[in-house]
Amino acid sequence: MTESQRVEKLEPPHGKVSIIVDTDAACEVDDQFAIAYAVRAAEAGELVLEGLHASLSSGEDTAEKLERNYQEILTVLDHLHSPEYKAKTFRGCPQKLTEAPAAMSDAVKNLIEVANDEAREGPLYVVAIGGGTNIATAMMLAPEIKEKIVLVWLAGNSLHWNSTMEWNLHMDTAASEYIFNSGVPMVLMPAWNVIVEMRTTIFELEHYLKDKNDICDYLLKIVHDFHDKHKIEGVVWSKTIGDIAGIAYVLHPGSFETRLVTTPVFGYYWGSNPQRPLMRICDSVKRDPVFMDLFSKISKN
Amino acid sequence: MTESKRVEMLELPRGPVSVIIDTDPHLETDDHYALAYAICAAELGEMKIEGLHADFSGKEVEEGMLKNYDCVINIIDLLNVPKYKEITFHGPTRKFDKENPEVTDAVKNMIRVANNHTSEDPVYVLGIGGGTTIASALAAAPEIAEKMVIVWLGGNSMHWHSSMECNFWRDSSATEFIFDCGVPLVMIPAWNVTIQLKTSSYELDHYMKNRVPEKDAICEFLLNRFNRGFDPTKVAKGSGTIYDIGGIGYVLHPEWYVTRLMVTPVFQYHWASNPQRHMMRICDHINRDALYMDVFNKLTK
Amino acid sequence: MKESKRIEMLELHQGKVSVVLDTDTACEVDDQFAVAYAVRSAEAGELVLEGLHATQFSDDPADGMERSYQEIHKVLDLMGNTEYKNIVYRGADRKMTKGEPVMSDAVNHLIELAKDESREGPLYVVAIGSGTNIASALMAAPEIKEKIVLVWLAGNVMHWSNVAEYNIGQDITAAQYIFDSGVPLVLLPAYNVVEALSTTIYELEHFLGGKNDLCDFLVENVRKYSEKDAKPNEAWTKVIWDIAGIAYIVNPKEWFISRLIPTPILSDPKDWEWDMKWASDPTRPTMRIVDYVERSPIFQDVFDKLVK
Repeated sequence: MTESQRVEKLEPPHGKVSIIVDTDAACEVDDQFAIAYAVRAAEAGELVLEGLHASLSSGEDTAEKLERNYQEILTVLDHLHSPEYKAKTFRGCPQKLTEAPAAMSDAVKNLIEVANDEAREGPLYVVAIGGGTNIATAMMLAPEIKEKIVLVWLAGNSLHWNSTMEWNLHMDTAASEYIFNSGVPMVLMPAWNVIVEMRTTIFELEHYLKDKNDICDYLLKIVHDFHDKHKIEGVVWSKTIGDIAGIAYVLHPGSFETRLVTTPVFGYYWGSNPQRPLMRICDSVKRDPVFMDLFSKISKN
Repeated sequence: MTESKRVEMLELPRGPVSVIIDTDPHLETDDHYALAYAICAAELGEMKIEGLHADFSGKEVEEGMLKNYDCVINIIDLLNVPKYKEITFHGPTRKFDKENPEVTDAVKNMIRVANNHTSEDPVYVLGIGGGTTIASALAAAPEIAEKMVIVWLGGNSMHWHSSMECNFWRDSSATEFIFDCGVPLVMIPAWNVTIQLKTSSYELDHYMKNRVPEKDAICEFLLNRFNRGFDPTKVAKGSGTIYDIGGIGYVLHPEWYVTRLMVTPVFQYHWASNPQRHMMRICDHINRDALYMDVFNKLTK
Repeated sequence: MKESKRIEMLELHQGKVSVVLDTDTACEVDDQFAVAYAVRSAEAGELVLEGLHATQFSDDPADGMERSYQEIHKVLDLMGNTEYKNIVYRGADRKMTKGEPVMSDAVNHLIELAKDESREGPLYVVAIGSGTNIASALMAAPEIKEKIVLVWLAGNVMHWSNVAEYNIGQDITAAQYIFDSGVPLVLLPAYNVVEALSTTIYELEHFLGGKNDLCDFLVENVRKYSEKDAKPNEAWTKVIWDIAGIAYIVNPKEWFISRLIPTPILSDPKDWEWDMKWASDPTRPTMRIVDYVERSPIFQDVFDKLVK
C-alpha cells in the first residue's frame, strides 16, 4: 500500500458505510451503549452492520471472559428486540496473542470474509472498542485484508501523554504491537485526554432514557449498578461512555477533530520514528451532538 | 535534585572549567583529534583536565579498553606532555550492571574528582565514547550527580527515525541509566548536529601544513589517521566527519553552540516521550568554521 | 486537492521528470553550480529541463533579477550550451505585496508549462531563491497547484528558534502565500540539513581546478567570495546550498532522508526584520521535509558532471 492509498482510506467516512463492532461487551457499562447505538443506526439505514464480535478481556480465564462478553451482546440484542443481529454475533479468540499463536475463531472468520467481499464499495470499518486480539489475528491469517479495512480503535492515550497505559491497548500487547507495525489504515481514539471526556451523569441519563423502552431501562440499570459499586460518598460522579465514540465516528465524522500523524511505535511510552506510515488520530470530540444522537436513537420505540 | 538546581547546573559553562574526558580512540579517528585538541587547550590554561578515561570499544570489553588506553598514552607522547599519564585511567572490563557496577580506576577517579567539586563549580565529564564509566560511577556514588555535568556526544536528534548511534548503543543499559538518573546532561547528537563537523583531506592539509616543530609529530599522526583509505578521485574517500571535537568545544566556547532545554526523552531504540520527566540540554547546531579554526590553531601553534 | 492526491504527488519520484529551475543566480556563488548541474544532468538524460527562471533578490529587486538573468546566460556560455538559452526567462522585478501577483515572462512560462497536458506526471519546480515567481504563478493560476511539485530550498528545521533564512527573507509575503497554498511542497531546510553540502576552496581546487572554463569560473567565484566572507578566526567553508534541489531531482531515494509532516505556518516577523517563527497547526496539508542529505555522493555527482 502506498502512503497516498493509505491516506485516501483515512479520509473521513462519507455516506453509509459497512462496519463490524469488536467489543469486550461485559467489561464495563459503555460497550452496551455502543452496541445499542450501532444496531439502531443500522436499523435507521445509516450504516450496514456486518458483525458484532466478542473479544476477550483480561483475567485469569480469558476464554470465560470471552464467553461473558459474547453473552452480553446477546443480552443487549434481546433488550433491543433485534434478534436478527444474533446471526451476526460471533465469538472471538479465547486466548491472547501474548500467550498463544494466531488461531482462527468465528469472529476472525467473519471479519476476513466480510473484508474480502468484493461486492462492497469502499473499505470495511472495523470499530474496535476492546483489545486488539481478533483484529491482529485476522490480519496475521489474511494479510490482504489490511488493504480492505479501516481500523477505528479506542485505545491508548494521546501522543503527549506520560505513558500509553490504557486498558484496551495493553489488553494484548502482542496484538497491539502487531497492529501498530502492520500499516493498516488506523484511526486512533485515545482515552486520555480525548475519549475520557465523553462523560455523562446519572441525572442526564435519567432525563433522556427513563421509562422509554426496554433497552433504555437495561442501560440505565447497568449504569446504576456500576454507580452503586464505584461511587464515593461526597464525590461528584460522572461516567465515561467512551465506546459510543467509535460508532459516532463513522456516522458523524464532522463531530471529531482529527489529524494525520506518523504512527508511533507501541511501547509503555509512545516511541517516535517519523519514517513510519501515517495514521489518523482524534484530538477531540463534540460530546453534546454525539450524546444527543445516541439518546434519540436508543430512546425511540 | 530539584529541577531548578539541575537547570542551574545546565547553564552554559563559564571560564576555564575542570573536565574529565571519557574516550574510545582505538577504532576511531575523531577521538585522537579531540584528545589532542583538549590537551592543547589545557596547556593554554583554557580548561583543567582531571582525568583521561579509557572506555571500551569492539567486541572484547577489556581488550578494547586496553587498546583505547594505549591510544591515549600515544597522544600524550606525541604531544610530549607526560604529566597527563598520571591522570589516565583504565575503564571497564565488562558492561554496565546497575546492581553491581564495576569500580574501575576510571570510576574511582570520577568519583574522587566529582567529590572535590560542587554544584556551583561542577566537573564537566566530556563523553566522546560510551556510557559505561559514567553510569558505573553514578550507580556506585549517586551523590556525584549533583557535582558534575555530563556533556555527551551521541544519539540522534529527536525527530530522527531512531536513536541508533554507537556511543549510546555500545552499552545501552548504561545509557538508559544515565538518561533516567537525573544527572545534568548536555546531549550533542550525531545526526543532524555533529555530522555537520565535516572536513576533507584538502582542508586538513591546508591548515596543518604550517606548524611549529613541536607539533610535527602530532600533526603527522593525525593527518595520516584521517587519510587512511584516501583516494583522490572519490569525494567520500577524501572527506570525513571529526565528530568528537564537538564534545570538547562546548566547554571552551559554548557561544558556538545553539542549545536549548528540553524534557529528557526516554532512551530506547525509538526516542520515546514522557513530558513528566526532568530537563536536559540538547545541542541543535555548532559553528563548524569557528570550532575547526580553534582546533587548527591549537594543533599547529 | 485531496490529501491523498497531495501525498501521491509527494511520493519519491522514479525516473526522469520535468524540471523548472527558479534561481537568484547572481546572489552568492552557489546558484551557478546548480544551473550548471541542472544543464549537465539534462544533457545526461537524467531530467528534462523546461525552464531556467531568474528571480529577484536584494534591496534592488529589479537589478537582482536582471543580474541573475544575465548570470544564467553567462553560465550557459561558459558551458558552450546554446540549446537552453531559449528557456531562460526574466522573473519578478519587485517583491510581492499582499493579494497581488508579480507577473513576468517567467511566471507566464511557468503557468504555461504546468498546464501542458502532454506531460506525464507533475512538473517539478526547483526553487533555490525567493518565492516571488512561484507564489505569483500560484496566485494568478491556482489550478496549477495540482500540476506541480515545488522543491524549495528555504527556511530552517522545525525545531529552530526562527525562520531567518535568506530565501524566505527575500519575500516574506510570497513565502507565507506558498506555505498557505497547499501546493505539494518538498522543503529543503538550510541549517542542519542542506548545510551538509559544505566544501572548501581546497577541495574545489582538487576536483575542479583547471578542468574547463566553467570549473575555473566556479572555483574563482568561490575564492573571490571568500575574500569578503571569510572571518580570520574561522576555518572558512562554503555551503553550495543550491545543488541540493537538483540533487533531489536526480536521486531522491538514495541521497535524502525525508518524511511527511503537516505544513507549518510562517508567522510574521516578531522582534526584528526576519524574526519569523514556525507555527504549528497539525491539521494543515501535508508536505515533505528533508531531514538529511548525503554529502559525498552528491558532490561526487556534481564534480563528475561539471568536469565533463
